[in-house]
Amino acid sequence: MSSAAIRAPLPSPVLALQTPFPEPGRGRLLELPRGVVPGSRLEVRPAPATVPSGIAEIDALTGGLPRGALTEIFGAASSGRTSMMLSALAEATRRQEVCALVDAGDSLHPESAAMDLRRLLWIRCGENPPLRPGETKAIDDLKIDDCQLQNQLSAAGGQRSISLPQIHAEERGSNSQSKIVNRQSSFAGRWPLTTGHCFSNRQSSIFNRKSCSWDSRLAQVLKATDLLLQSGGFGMVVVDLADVPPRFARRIPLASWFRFRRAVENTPTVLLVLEQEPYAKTCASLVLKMQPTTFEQQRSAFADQHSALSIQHSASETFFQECPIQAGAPPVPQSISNCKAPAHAHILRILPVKAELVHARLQRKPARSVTAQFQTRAAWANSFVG
Amino acid sequence: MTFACIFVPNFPVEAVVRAEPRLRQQAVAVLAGKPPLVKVFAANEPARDCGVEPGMTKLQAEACPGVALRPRSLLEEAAAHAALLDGAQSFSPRVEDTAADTVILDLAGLERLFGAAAQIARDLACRVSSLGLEANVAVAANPDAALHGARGFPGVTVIPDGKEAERLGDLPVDVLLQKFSSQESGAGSRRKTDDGQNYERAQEILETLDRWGVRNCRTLAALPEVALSERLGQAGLRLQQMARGTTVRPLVVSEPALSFEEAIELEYPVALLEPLAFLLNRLLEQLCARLSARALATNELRLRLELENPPRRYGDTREIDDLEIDDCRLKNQQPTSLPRINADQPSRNSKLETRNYTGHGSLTTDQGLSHRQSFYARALHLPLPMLNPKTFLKLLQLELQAHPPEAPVTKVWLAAEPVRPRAAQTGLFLPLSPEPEKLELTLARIAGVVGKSRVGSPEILDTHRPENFRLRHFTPAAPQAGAELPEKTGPLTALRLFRPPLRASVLMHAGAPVRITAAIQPEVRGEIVWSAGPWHASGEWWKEDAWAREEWDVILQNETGAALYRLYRDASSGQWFVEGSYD
Repeated sequence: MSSAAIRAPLPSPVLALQTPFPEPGRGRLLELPRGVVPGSRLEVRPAPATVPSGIAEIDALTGGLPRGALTEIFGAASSGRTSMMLSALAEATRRQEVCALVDAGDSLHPESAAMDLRRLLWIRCGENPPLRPGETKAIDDLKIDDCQLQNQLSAAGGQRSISLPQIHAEERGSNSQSKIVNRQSSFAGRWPLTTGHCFSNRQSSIFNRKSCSWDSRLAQVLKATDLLLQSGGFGMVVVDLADVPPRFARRIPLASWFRFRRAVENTPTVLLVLEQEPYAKTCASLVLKMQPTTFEQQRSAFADQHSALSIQHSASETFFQECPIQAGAPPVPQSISNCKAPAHAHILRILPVKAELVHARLQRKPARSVTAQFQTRAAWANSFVG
Repeated sequence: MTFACIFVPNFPVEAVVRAEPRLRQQAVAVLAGKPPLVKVFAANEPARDCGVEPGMTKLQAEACPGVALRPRSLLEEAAAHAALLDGAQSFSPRVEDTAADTVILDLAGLERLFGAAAQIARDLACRVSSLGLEANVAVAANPDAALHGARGFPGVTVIPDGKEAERLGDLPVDVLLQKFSSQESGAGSRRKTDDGQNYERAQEILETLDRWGVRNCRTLAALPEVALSERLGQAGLRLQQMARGTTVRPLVVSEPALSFEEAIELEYPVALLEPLAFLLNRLLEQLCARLSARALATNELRLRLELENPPRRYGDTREIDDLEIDDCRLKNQQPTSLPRINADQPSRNSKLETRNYTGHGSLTTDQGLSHRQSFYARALHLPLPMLNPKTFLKLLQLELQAHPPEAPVTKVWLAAEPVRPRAAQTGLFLPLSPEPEKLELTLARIAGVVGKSRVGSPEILDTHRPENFRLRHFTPAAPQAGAELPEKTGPLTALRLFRPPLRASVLMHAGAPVRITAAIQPEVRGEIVWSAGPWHASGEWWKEDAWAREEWDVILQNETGAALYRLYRDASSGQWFVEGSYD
């Protein structure tokens, strides 16, 4: 290239980029065409399509779950995350949509899911698939993802050395086994189909019955979610990370969340993630925090139920015959008013749940924390009350 | 009455070229015979231009440069013949299986469907070409005239009614006798025995006519009938009628079984999955083209691979794959009569096979490691009829990746179960659902990640036993317009299960649990502030795996709040477990 060509004037967009930033108040950084208003200056933002979550209080708080966006629901154990997830899934299957649940902890109780289960694809992560020499691609991908997680971990500053001693013995054992399996599968994958099979086959029969580590589970979750989102056609895809300890879930690369967000963008799919802490950061369009109730709240809820039931079933003094009894002793009829401890049916009859809107891209940031409270009921409670 | 004849010249070569389309423009010669008497059996026009002639030895043929030499494959010829029949039957149900390279079909009444006879002939040529065969097509008023027209004239020929003698007049007399020679070759040689004597007699007549100087059909047709009859008998008269195009015979309609099978015999064994995928792709495209020609789809693909020298380990009691069936049984069966194998059924054959392997341990090593071929079979069941070779290929690849064969592959056999294609009309305002082909691929890929038994749709079983569900293949029903929506149930308290349940130690006081410690899960540890129970449950006491337990619902107070868990004590072992948490 000649020197004249180098000194030739740059095209105007390049020049505009090379222009130093103007000082505040002295000029505009970028002139937008007439009629184009930045999104940040819009008084009323365009409302995306939302779907009801199946809980009226949550819908009133959030406006529904946005389609084509990532929604995070996080909270501690017994905070109502799963109840809300199942409620949203039930609502989606009620609309005849096809849903998928990527279950990292393999913790779904199908009887709790009062929905059309034929429209639910349940992916139970947590077990090593049978390893064969030809199956190197999927496993290699897992290995790559695992490596990414390892890199992420090392970049985080040796967090593993702190967390490793805390991992219980079974987790450590399965982790080391998964490493062995991964190394073995990648080794066998370099060979033709004829070799290495017998060895690998024998080994896989030992390992594949063991549950794999959280790292492997997360790799399976990411891979399965990617495949589901690329496939398309699902009304709702739920990623259940509620059982994954935060120290493992934090290792999910932010790039994965960006990829998920981009994959569901401009699609009618609702991507719902259940977790203990928010991990997707800015990729999430809606973040809901579910708060567990305290024991006092539980007791007051029980007292409310108790008084209501006392009125409702005053004629039947022996309504709860399953009050705490000693094993082997005959059941003792007790009146509700005399029952100091809750019966089996009491404790779960109504579970109060509190949800807080943490972040919503679709709305203005609320000036203060807004919450909604609702109650979940046991599946048998509907017919019980009726 | 109008008849069309489809004739594939150099049929053995065309069958080879159909299996290897890259040879289409090349000189190809097909070899047959047992070594060292291997000779050229057939050659296409470019090969003949190079100097290769049928009957040459292999060494002589190899001396001709630029000629691709391939062994004759009866499997490929059978598949090509089946494709030829499919192509003909896609136009008319009245098809005569005249020879391996020739079919005749009745075109009566097809004008309103497909147009004039010339148009039908062109469409027939295109259809056969799409099935991988280059054929001559001729249309005439009687079957034999169409047959001789197809054999004598290249491309598409239409012989008008009454002009048969004029159009066939230029053809050499040899064309009238090719009927017998072509039947000798290929898969349709079952008539060879019946027509053998006729063929020999026809050869004698041909030599006689040659001595007389009669070399084309016009000259033969002009001979006086009585004199010809006196010298050559009824066979001579029949030949003359054929030369005049005036023979009248009924069409022998064949109704072949609706089977779609393709096979390739490999010259060299394939040991890697990628080249095997190329072969499968070719077979799948041919199968799908045949199914498409018959307006059919498939919901089951059966793959069988013939393996070379499978590894044998004596005393090895490992589990053999479900679908590796006893090769001794398969050896006695033809490929077309391969038993249907269900991939979902854990067959007893696997155990038998294991015993067979173990049983051979008493043999000597030389016998055990002799050239003993084995078979590998897989069946791919699809929830819906499909006709997409790319989808099929990907599914087969995933299946082979999950269950690779044990040894290099020497022969590939693929069959499709024909079914009517699915007809679905979706509504404009119905919710979106995944495309069946994409969904199948996604499910297969996910099964490769998490395991086949861990993907599906849960189905609750009619039992009180814990874990009372099973996973079924995920096949969502298509959304229906105007379907009655179920009533809303409101939020229900969900139970999250620990799989397997957490072993815990529980401290009891006054018959109720007061403290729990789950070693594996640190969160499930502490004082129980509230408990409810027990709830006694048991079932299936008449079985060996009877179950009995007492359940408790407990509340643990920790720093984040109250957490609810379900405990149970196994009545048989007395051990406590944490089954799950209410969330």
